Amino acid sequence: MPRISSSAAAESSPLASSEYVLQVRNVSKAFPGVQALDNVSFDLKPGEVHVLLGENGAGKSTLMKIIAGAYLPDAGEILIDGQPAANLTPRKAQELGVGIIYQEFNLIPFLNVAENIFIDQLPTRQLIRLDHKTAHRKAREILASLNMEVPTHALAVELSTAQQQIVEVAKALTHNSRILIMDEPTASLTDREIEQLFMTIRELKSKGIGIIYISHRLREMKEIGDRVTVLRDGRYVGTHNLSEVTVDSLVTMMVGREIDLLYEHDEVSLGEEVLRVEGLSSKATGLRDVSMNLRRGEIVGLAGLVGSGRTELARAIFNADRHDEGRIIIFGKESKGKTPKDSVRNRIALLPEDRKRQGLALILSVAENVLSASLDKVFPRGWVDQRKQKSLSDEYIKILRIATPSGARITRDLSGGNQQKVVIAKWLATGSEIFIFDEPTRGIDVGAKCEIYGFMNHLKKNNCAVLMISSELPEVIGMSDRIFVMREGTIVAEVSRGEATQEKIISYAMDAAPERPANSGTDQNPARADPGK
Amino acid sequence: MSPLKTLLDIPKIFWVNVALIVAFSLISSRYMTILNAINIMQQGAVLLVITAAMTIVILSEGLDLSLGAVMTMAGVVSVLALGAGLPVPVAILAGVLSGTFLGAITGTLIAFCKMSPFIATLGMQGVIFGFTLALTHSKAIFTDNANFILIGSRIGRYVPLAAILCGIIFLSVWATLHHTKFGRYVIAIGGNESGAHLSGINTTFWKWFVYVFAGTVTAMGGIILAARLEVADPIVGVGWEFDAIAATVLGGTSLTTGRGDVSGSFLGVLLIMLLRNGMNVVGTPPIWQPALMGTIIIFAIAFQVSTTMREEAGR
Amino acid sequence: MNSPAVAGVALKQRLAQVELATWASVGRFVALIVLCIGIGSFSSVFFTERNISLTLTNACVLIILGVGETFTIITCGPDGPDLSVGSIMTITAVVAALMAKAGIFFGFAFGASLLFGAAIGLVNGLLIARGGLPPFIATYGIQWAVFGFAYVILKGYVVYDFGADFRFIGNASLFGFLPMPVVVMAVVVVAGFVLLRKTTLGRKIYAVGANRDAAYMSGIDVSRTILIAFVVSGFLAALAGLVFVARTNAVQADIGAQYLLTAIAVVFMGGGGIGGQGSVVGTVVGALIMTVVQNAMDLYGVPGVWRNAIIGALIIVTVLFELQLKRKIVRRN
Repeated sequence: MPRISSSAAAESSPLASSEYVLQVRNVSKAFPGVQALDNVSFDLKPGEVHVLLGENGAGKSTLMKIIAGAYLPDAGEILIDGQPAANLTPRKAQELGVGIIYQEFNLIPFLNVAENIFIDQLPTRQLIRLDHKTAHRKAREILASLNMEVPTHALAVELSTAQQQIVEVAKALTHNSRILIMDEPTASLTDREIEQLFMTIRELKSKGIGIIYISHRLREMKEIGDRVTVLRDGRYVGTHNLSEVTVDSLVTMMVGREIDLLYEHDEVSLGEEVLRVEGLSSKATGLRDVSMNLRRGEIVGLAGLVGSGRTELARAIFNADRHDEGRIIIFGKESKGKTPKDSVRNRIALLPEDRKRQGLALILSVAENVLSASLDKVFPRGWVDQRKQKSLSDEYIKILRIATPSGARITRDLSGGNQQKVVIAKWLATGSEIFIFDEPTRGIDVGAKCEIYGFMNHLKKNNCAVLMISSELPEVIGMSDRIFVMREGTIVAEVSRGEATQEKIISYAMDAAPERPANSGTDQNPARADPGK
Repeated sequence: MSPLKTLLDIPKIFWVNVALIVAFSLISSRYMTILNAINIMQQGAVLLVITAAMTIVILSEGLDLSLGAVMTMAGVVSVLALGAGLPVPVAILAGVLSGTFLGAITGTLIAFCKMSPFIATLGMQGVIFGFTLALTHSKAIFTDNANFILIGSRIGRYVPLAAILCGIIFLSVWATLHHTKFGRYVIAIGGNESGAHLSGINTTFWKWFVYVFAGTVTAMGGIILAARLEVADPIVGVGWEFDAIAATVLGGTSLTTGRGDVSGSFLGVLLIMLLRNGMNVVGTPPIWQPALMGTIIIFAIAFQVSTTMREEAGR
Repeated sequence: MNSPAVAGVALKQRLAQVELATWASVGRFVALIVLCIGIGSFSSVFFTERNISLTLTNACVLIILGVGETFTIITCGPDGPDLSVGSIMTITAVVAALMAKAGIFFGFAFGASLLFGAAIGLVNGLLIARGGLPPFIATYGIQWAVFGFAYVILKGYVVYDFGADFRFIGNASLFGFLPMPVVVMAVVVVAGFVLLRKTTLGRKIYAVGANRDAAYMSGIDVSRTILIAFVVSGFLAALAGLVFVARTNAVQADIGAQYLLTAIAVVFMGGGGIGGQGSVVGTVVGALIMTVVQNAMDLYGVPGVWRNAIIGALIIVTVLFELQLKRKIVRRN
């Protein structure tokens, strides 16, 4: 270590002296309950595109935020141009040349392109008067240096997603960034727009800027990337030259979590079909021609990457979002429901992904939450019978073994696992028969996980139907009787329990499958073909 | 861009205004006169200033229900200062600074204490109104200082000085919005506060400054109003903030997204003034006017907001 | 998961949280008592039967309005107060007064006024729940329109001197010692308490206020719940107007204006102000504090013109204090 920094100091130009513009050494970071990063190392050369690869929750975004100064690591160090950069803050990172393009929209919708590019350094003349001319000229220069044409007078809302990305790149360049982090930049781009973005990236490479590129699209990264580092469960797996590895070997590196004995699986004889989705499409949520079904006595897994449309499908079935086309058939009858209220009446239950935002009223008591979806059913006269409320909620607290001294306890004070059980209790109380679990075990401890798996199996055995969305492949494989894999708004494969492997599912989910499923087109990338459709 | 599309891009409210003018002139022959136009300008001028201030606040995703009270207070302070024998420029400065000061308090409650703008400014409305009553002992204070009255008067029949001054203030607010960092930050905070923060803008400070700015501009309007009416009336500003909000919303400014412009608010103020003036011209009994205006405006706002929401949802 | 360590930490957290929230409500109550004793020890009049009865009667209109605001603020949070209650109480009082003057049976006049108030509340609710307007814009706008109509109806006059049957709920006494306004207020308080705590409607109101998305996703009809909250508020505003006019024996077009701020403030002073929080009992305590302060200003002869400013400042300070307190409670976890 001292050797590198002294040699860097000896040379006048750090770029020439140090082979790496960025080095991350043995960084660890823990959050309550999770070890997000465990002894991870990473480096970046000037003028290269270094892909960061891993499943959801592998630690990519934590690493990214540490480099950008948003989080401080618990252990390990970061070197920029060979110099240790301790106690990074976002501002300090920016000054040292780290630029970051988040996945979320960070432009100002009703400011124009030039203003967005120079938002924190708007040029002025005559004391306070803005110098629009200079801003536009400089903005055009920067965009031209990227070989891009974006009208600098257009408002950010009027731009296509690709153009917005380019504006973000230009914004980063105004700070003389030499390290640029791009978080899934192609997530919502069309093929042509991706080509455009790649041109920009090549331009940046030629300027000697190092790019950390986070993406799930294996083919795409082979095209643009130089090296790849794979993370799994917060640990470093390996770094390779992309020209020397195959897509299959990358998939193998990413998966490989143990499928352990947590998961219990029972064979239950299948009952009638309770849910059938036919040709569901929605412009607003990006669902495209989704068809699937669900029967009594089975747990069906819904796998796919974050953003592949799993939650959107669940919400559409639950009538939380409208859809444009397609039919939803529930218990053999076409659903005419318009709101979740109708779905609750139809005996459908949805455990939402974000239980704190959509599943629970945290400031209310456990008992109030347990009965919140079944008020009209339990108290048809509109009169809350305290004794009945207590006995019912106590019953569910007992059945689900919710760790709380009483039902009067405020839900916020419960642990994540127990909160999730309160949501389950809420739906048990409604007498639902179709259960949609969206990431039911996210952020809860192993003990509670096990119990939730137990409840799912219990539901299955009691003739209910369960649709489980999960990003944890072992969980999906361990629990499901069948698995649907989604990618980019549609179902790309159905995998039976017998043939399910982690490699297979992730290959479908990331568009790396050797053969195409029957229902997708002939295009090289069917999922995002024909943006006009 | 086809001529038809350009025509369609002109906001609907513009056509509503045109329709009103045509309708009223058909009803009354006394309507389409230069003097009536000047009347509308003189009467609407101060509302234009308050609305400009309100638009800035709403663009930043805030709200200021105390602006009517600030306007009143500024007029009272200036007239009291004149009464104490201070020269006119000093009295005007005192009035303006009172608005700056009140805006600074409001801004502190919202930006630094993180109170909801609605509750904070509603409370400030009560406090400022109370202090105004206390300062004036609930009585209107007249002034006969000719130099002071001049700024609100019209010179001859055809030179509406108040309207000209308010027009200048309005244009300055427009220029501030479009041609200063502050103005751009207002749009940034209203449009994407976390994005603005991540881009290195001190959103807390600028949010505070929004209310300081609005208080200052509003105070100028209040002083001109006091000069025009030749009296500082402690209840003159009651309800003005709502007219200002209404004009802002009718002018197409969104309550939530940082979309809009003070130029739209001009059309909103014009609409309100046309309705008021038109009611007089067609002989609506004065006693009916507040009720009718209130009803028309609240449903117009509801219509406008639901249209805006639909547009934004379709985006 | 059930390890003693986890349970211990959880218990400690719970104690800490309960402590703060409980301390806050106890604190409010203690503040009220201390205030009373403090004023009483400096004023020989304060603890007289007459003053107590007067103060309590004065508090009635405020409490009735406050209970209505409690409904809307629990449902819609800090931006959800109903700003139109002052105008609704005015116009319904005017309507009832004119009906009484026209010789219409007082019971009919009352019933019609209450329905009228509820109907204006319904308009508020429709603008908010169906029209998508923020509550403060909708109710503020309705306020100006309704005040305008009250003015139209009265044409600027004062209507006064009503029959004894009409004034019954304002100045009569039950069993010779319980002033009727207090009886009406007590009924409202009990009914409000029961509605919020003992019915599924109350449950839905708290659920919508605590987490609107979660309520929606639990199949609760959110917009109907909001609608009902504003109808209740409109109805109670009308009732407050009737009590007011029966008590003062006169009505003019601006009687409700003085309650715009105080009716909202008492909810905040009583521990409400965040969606899903607040209670009728808290609001009553808040309203009593407010009334006692006003009574003290009377007794000490604080000049009338300063009162608005003092009340306004009191409101800002309490709201600020309550908000910080609530943030602290929320942050505990």
